[in-house]
Amino acid sequence: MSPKFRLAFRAMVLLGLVAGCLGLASEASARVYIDITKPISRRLPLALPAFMPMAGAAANPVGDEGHRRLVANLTYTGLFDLLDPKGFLGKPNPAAVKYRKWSRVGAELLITAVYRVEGDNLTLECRLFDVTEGKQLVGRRYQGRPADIKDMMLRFADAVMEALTGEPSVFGTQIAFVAARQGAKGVTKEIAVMNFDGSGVRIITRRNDLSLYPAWSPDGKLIAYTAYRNRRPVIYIQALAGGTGRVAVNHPGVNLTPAFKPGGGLAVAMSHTGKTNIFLTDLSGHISKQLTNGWGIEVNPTFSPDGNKMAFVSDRGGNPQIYVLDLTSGRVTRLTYGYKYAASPAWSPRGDRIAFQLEVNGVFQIATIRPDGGDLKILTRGLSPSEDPSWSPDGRLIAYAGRQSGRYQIYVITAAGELIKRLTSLPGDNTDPAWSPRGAALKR
Amino acid sequence: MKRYLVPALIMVLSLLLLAGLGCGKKEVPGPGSMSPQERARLEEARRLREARLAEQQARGSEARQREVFVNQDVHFEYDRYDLTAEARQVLNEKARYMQSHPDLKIIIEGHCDERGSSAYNLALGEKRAKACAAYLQAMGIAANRMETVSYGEERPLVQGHTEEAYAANRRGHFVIK
Repeated sequence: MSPKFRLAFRAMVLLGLVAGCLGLASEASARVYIDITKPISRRLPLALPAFMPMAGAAANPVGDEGHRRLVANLTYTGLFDLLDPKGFLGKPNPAAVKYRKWSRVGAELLITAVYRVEGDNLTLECRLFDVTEGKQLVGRRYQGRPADIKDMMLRFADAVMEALTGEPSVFGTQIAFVAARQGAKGVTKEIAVMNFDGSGVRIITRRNDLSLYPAWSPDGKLIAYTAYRNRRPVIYIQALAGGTGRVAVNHPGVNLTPAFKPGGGLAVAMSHTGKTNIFLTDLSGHISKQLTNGWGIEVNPTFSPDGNKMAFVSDRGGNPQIYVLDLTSGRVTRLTYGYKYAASPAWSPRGDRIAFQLEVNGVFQIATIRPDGGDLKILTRGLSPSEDPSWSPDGRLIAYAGRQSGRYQIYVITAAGELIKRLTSLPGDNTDPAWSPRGAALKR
Repeated sequence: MKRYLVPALIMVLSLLLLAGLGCGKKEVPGPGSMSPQERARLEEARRLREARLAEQQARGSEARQREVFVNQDVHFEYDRYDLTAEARQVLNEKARYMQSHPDLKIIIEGHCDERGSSAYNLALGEKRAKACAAYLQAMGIAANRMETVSYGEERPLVQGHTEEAYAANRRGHFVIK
């Protein structure tokens, strides 16, 4: 165990979590296997053999389904090199794992799962082992119906990620986006929400008009968005739990691109003064502060996790570029240079980078930059536009809208630019993904 | 444009009919045998005919003017909302039409091409609509006759990812209330 991986508070988190699980003393590991604050140097080789019936139990299709779902969940993280199940000869016995055997096939981690189905009752035991150190890291027993297998596999994947990274995963999160559909009177756009993996898509607005720019409240319970009312784009706030939403911000001119400020309030781009600037309002639209003071267009506020800084788009330099406002000092710094169009900034929940869309040789690409303007990285290289980045709450993944299939669809890449998954294959354009914070209720 | 075709046809047909009736009357009585009442009646018919013709012509040109007012867009450069010389020419015509139609109230829609950020474009579309309105106001059109709305890149006139489509979609569009 290298000291640089040793973090006492993470050990405490782990100790708290394993209580009540398949208890084994060796679970109390303080090692952080995957340091998600650093770029990934390599994927961890993980053996994930087929789920087996418990001794005396009959084989059941739910075993294969569970295996398939767990593979999909762990693949989504981009952190593992999943070893080919065909390479595994023996059936692993969770009670006596032959660590050296797994080590010889190249595995550093091993997951075993055994199950029993009796009537409509499913019992599933899942374990994660550190093959190199020869010990169990996680053990969980789940009981429910076979139909609960999806939920069980999300929860176990979550436990695996928490054990390996010291942080909760993104498995419980959702992504809001704008779904365009051809209606009788032309194209309409509604706000839709889906699970982190693209499953469970549902439309949450029924305005039959243009609803745009969804933004999550920090508790994941509300979504603010822009929609037209009497030919004026205004801000609506809607509970994810249901309802049709209410008008929250409605000043003359336009009311665009809401962003919840950590610690309270809503930043909105508004043009009632004749110039489009960003204002801080309460959730009823009362302005408490004018945040930017440009002469033309200032839109797309996005806050640093501590709420002390705000990135935004401004044309104050002649064309759209990303700027950062220090809310304490009032100082504004331009971040992007050398390109004629940069927009749609999204501040990473880790705080260390800002993602945005950047016009590179006439095509918009997803890029990230440090909040001090250093270390610009262009993550996508397509010939068709990639736009509207949004970070996963762990700051490891970026969802964006790409047009490579002819229509805009939502894709997920790692912060290093590796493609993880195309999330949507829906009719019409699907744009403007907004990743929820942790804790938003997952639609099963 | 099709909706003007039917009134135009009716107009042409009724003119032909009127002309035909007039000719038929003229042939029968000679100038010498015409009574003063007859002469007055004919004179009245001619006057009515001419008035109707003038009105029809005016209405035809009125329909054309209205059509131009609604269909001729004010165009913009990429990522710009200042008015080009050509845009100002089009707006001068809009101003003339609004001056000769003092009851007319309009909505100016600002539109953008699909490139760039949709949010930035929605703000840009408003600047374009407002630039048109400000110019018309400077030409003496009362502000309360004009309303603006931005649709950004959300309501393109022309579909497609070509320069031609982009140019056609960067526009101020006029709608009569």
